[in-house]
Amino acid sequence: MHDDEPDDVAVLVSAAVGGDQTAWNRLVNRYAPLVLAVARQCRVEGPDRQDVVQTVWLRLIEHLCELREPRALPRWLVVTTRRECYRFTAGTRRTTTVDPVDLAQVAAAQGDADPDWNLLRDERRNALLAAFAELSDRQRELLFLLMAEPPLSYSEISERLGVSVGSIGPTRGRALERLRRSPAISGLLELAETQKPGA
Amino acid sequence: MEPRSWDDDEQLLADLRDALREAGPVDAAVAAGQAAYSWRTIDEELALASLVFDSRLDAGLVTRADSAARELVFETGSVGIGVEVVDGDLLGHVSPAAAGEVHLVDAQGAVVGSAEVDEFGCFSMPLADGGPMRLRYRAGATDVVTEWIGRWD
Repeated sequence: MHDDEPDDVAVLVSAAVGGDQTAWNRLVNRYAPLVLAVARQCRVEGPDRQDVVQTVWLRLIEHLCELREPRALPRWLVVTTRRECYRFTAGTRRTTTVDPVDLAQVAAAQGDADPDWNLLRDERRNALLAAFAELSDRQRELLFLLMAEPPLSYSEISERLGVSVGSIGPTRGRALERLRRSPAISGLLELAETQKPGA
Repeated sequence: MEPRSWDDDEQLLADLRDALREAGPVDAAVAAGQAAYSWRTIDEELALASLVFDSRLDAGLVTRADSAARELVFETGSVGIGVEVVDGDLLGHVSPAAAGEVHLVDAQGAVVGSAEVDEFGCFSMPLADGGPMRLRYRAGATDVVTEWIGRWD
């Protein structure tokens, strides 16, 4: 099972810039959960959420070739989605002047009961989704099956993926380790370490 | 409440499941994303007017009596397009002023609004509803599109 192939986001970005629709489709597939989650965190739902997401993709097409550092993609998506959400919600709420890029202000403007906790939760979820987007297709596929509801047995998973039962455990371990090692996650974990009492 | 540790494989997987669940079904978002790619080559051929001011986001920078009107300003290196949305109408002005035409285009490429731009650079048209749209302005050798705006009013 080639679960560790370097099937980098950077490669997909440059292929998409070069005209490869398949590479673009794979990028969209990988990052759709992140964009959708951010819109939901901003309380944008239904047709408005669909409009926000569509606008984010259209803007990404315009700006893809300017993303010199593909590592910047998840951050770009989060900031752009928040900004677009703000365009939708600001017109319907009492307007207060906030910087939509500043999460704390957005949360405060939305009247969150415990903004700090919600922000932390959102940041952690977004980091996980960004890290998940960077896994190879095989690793993503396996983790999807492992998270299925109701749960699938290893033998069902082995049948669906066409791999041996014995390889599932190690592949799962490597995929999760790669999640942990991704810059999005390791940055958060380091931050948590420095904020521990007594650290 | 302390965030749970991701050293544990089970916890990491459970939190990933929660994150994906919050995102919800992705089909419509993925379809919209794939369709957006058809704009890539079109965009390469046209000058893009970037959004440089949006009263909804940059309201702190100006003081206005009628805060109800939405104002948007787009710019390329050589052309500026300012738009005000008033009671369901788009009132616009291009600079430098030059007679031409302006179209409002939706994400499927359909023209959902059109107007003549007069010799003073002014135009107006009813604002169509629904979905992301952009303006395309043509006058002589000038041919520019604005950035996409998800919601104009």
